[in-house]
Amino acid sequence: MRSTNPSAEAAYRRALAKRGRKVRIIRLLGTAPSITQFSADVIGLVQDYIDDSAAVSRESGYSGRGLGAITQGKRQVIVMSQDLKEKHFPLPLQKNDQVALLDEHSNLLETLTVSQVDAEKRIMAGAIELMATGVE
Amino acid sequence: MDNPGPIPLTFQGGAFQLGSPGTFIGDEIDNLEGMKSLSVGANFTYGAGGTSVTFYLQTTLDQGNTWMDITALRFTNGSLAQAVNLDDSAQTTPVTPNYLALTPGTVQNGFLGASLRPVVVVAGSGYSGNTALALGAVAR
Repeated sequence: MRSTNPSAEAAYRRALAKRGRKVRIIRLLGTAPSITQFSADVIGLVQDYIDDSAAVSRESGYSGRGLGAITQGKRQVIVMSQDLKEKHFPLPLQKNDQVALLDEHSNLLETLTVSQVDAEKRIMAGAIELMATGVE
Repeated sequence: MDNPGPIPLTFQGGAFQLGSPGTFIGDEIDNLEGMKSLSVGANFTYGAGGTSVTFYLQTTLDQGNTWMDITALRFTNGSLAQAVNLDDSAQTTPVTPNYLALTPGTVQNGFLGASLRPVVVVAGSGYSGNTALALGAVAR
């Protein structure tokens, strides 16, 4: 059984071509002070996202009022798993991997730390959804 | 070749840990068909303790049923960096593949399969004090 739908994947590719930007996915290897890294430059969709303020309320039955405020620097990043595989990036993506936002000349603009990975939600399109927070 | 460029040599998605003795088989890197040459580097940062650590890079010619060593680099009790380059030069004399037995400091050139995997053997006692082994390779 196919795990990706070619039409869905093509639609994501079109979206990335239209609104994508260069990002660098970074895996830190080792422990301080001997840390190295492996990175892969791919095209990703980067956008702000709003926490699901009703999640706590649904799960606990108590009001979620006051929760879900946007945290400055929080981003949703969508990348294609095939792009990472072609760059031999070690999958699956993990919490505490980093996402570096690059400009068109591959200069570093901002570094985010992955707080959440969902490789299943968009698997039909072969995409991986990340939640990443700006380093403060 | 398919997908030239840097390739990670990782253990379960991260770095190899050298704190205890044993044989640690790293993650396979696939989709390397058509590889013509391979540069491999290992940077050993010594902290404390330990006896020896040997890094083997292996390839497979039968889609992962068996693996053979193509390079072996050994480190003991001092910081050291080592690098080798392998290519697809013809090997017309049959060789007997080694499995974690290639003499450290040597290579088995001419055999670059479609998959690679790193294996690290920590012998004697484990290392401590932030001892680390950074591995990397570039396939062309």
